[in-house]
Amino acid sequence: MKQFLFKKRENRPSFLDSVANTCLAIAMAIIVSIIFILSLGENPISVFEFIIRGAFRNTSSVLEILAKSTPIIIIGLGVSIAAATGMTNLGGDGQFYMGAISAAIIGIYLEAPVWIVWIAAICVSILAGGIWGGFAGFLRATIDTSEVIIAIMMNYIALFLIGFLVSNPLQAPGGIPQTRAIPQIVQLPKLIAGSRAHWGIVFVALLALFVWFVMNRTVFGFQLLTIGKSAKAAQYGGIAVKKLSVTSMFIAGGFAGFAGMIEVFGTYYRVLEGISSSFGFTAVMIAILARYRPLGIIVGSLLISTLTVGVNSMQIAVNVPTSIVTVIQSVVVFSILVMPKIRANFQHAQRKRLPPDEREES
Amino acid sequence: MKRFFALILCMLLLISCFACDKGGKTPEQSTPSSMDGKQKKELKVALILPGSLNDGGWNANAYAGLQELEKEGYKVAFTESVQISAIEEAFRNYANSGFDLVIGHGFEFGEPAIRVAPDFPEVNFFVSGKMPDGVTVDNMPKNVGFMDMKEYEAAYLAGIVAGGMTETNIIGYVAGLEIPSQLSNMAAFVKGVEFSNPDAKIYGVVTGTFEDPNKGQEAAKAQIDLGADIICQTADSTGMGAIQACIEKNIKIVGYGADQFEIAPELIMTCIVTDNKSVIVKQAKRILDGSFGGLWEPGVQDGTCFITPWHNFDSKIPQEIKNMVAKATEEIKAGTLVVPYILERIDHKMDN
Repeated sequence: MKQFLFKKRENRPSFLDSVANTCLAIAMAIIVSIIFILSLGENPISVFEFIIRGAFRNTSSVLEILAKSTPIIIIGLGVSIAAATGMTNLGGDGQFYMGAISAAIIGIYLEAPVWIVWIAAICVSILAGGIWGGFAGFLRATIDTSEVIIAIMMNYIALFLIGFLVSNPLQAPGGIPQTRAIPQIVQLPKLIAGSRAHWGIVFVALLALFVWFVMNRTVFGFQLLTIGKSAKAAQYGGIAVKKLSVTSMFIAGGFAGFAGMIEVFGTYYRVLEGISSSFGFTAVMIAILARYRPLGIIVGSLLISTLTVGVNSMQIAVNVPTSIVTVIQSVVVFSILVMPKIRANFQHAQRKRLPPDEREES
Repeated sequence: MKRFFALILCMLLLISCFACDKGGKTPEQSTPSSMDGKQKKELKVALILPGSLNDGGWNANAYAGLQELEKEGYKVAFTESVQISAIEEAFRNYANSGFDLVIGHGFEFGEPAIRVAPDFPEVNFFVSGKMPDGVTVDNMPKNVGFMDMKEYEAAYLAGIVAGGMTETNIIGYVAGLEIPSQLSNMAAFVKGVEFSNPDAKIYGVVTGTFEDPNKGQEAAKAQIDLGADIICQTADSTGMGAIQACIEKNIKIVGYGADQFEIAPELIMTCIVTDNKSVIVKQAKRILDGSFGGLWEPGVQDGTCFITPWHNFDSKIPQEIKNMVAKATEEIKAGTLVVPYILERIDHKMDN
C-alpha cells in the first residue's frame, strides 16, 4: 500500500492499465455472480435487469443511492488520509458510532440556536471519532501495536457501548432500544421530501475537494505521503513521523465520526444499533479500489450503493438473496487486489522467455 | 500483453452481450412498478418481519398469513430479519415498488410507518402493534393502520375454565414482562376465575422475561408448593419452564401463544391464543372493503383471540363450565359482556 501511492505519483502505470485491471475485476465479479445465480436456479439476465432497473426506477431510488453512499464516502476519504501514512483504518464503524452517539447527545440535550447545535455536534462528533481512531494510531506510534487489530477491537467496544447506552441510560420511552429523537428543528433538511437523501451529500462534495487539495497541494499532505513512502527517510528529512501518523489516524477517525453525525442528523434522527451496516469495512474496500483518490472514492461508493439499492429491490421481484451483492463486492475487491500481481508475474514470465537483448523493450 | 488484451476484449464482449440482451428484452418484461391501473383483485401485499420466519411463533404465524393471501391470488413479497434501523428503508422500498399494503409486523414499526406514510398516500401501511407515544387516531395519517389486540378477553375465558376445574381452589399464573398486554391478561384471567369460582385464590408471578425457562420453572414450583393444581402461563419460553414444572408434578396447565396441547396432552386444558395469521389476512380484506386505517381492535369478537379446543379434556371439563365459557364468548361477541381492562395487580402477588 505504501509503495503503491508513490508508484502512482512517480511512475504512473498507464491509464489503460488501471482501466484494464478494473474491467477485468468487474468482469470476474459478474462471472462469479452468474454462477451463483444459476446455482440458485434463477435467470442471471433477468436478475441483473432487475438490479439495474431497481436502482434507476425513479427519483427516489436514485436519491436512495445518494443517501446510502454519503457515510461511505466520508469514511472512505478518512481512510485515504490514514493510508497516506501507511495506516489502515479498519475502525470506521466504531468511530462512526462514537461520533453518532456524541452528536445525538448534543442534538437532544443542547438547547441552542440551530447553527450552534450543528457546529457543536460536528465538533464533538469529529473529536469523539478522532479520539477513537487516534488511540489506535497512538498505540501504533508509541508501542508499535498493529493499528488494524486495535481499531477492529475498538469497533466492538464502541458497538457494545452503544448497545448499553441505547438500552439503558439514553433509552427513549417505549421499550425499543434507541435514543430519543433529536428535535425536528435541528434535523438536516431533505434534498427532496419523501426520500432519505439529505443535504449532507453537499458536505461530501466539499470534503472530497478539501481532501484532494490537502493531499496534493499542501506541505502537510506531502509530509503524510512522505511518511507513507518511507518513514525513515521522512524522519531524516525532519518530519515529525510519530505525531503525523497519529494525526492521520485522528483525522480518519474524525471523518468517520463526522459521518456518524451526518447520519444521525440527516437520516435516523436518533441512535440505535445497526445504523452502520459495516460502513467502515465497505469504505476501506472502496478506498483501496479507488487507490485512495477522492474522486475514485466518490465514484466507487456510488457504484456500490447503486448495487445495494438495485439488489434490495431485485430481491422483492426475484427469489435471490441479497447476499449476492456481498459476493459481487468481494470478488471485485479480490480481483483488484490480486490482478496487478498476477499480471506482473505473467509479464515477468513472458520477459524471461525473450532473448536477453529484447527484454528491455517488451 | 497481447494475450491479456485479448482476454479483456473477451470479457468486454461478454458484458456487452448481456447489455444487448437486456436492451432487447425490456419491452416484454414487466417491472415491479408497472402497476398503475390497479385492479382491486390484484392487491400487492408486502410483509416486513422483525425476525426469522422460522421462529415458530410471532413471525412464522404472520408468514403463514401471507402464504394464505398468496393462495387466494394476491401478489405477495416479504423481507425477514429487518433491523429497526433498516425499517424505514424497507417501507420506502416496497412503497416505491407499487405495493398496496405494506405490513410491519411489530410495535417497533410504528414510528417509521408514521414517518413514511405521508409520502405515499396511495400505499397502506399496517403495523401489528399499538401506536407509538404521542400518536392518536386523530393525528395520524389516514393510510396507516395500527392494532391493539384484546388478548385479555381470551385470558378471561381461560380464567373461567381454570376457576371451574380447580379442586384446591389455588391457581398459579406465570407472566412474562411487566407490560400492559401481560398485566391486562393477568387481571382478566383473575376476573374470569372469580366469575366461575369466587373462592379460588390466584398466585401470580411476573417473571420479567419471556426468555428464561428456569425462572418460569422456579415460579411454577413455588406456586405448586402453595397448593396450586392449575398453572396458567403467558410467558413464551419462560412459560415452557412452567409447563415443565407442571409435567413433573402432574399439574393441569393453561397454555399460551399456540395450541400447546401436544407438549402435555393429558395436562393442557386449553391455551390462550391470538391468530396472527388471520391478522395479516384480514388487513388485505379491510383494504378491499374500505375499513382500513386507524386503530383496529381485534379480540374474541372477530375470532382473532380465542382459547383452543379441549382435546383430551373434552370429557373431563363439566358441561356446566363449558356452558359458562360458551355463554361468556357469546356475550363478548354480542357486546353485552365487556371484559375489564385492568393494568393493576389483583392477584396474590408473589414476585420475589
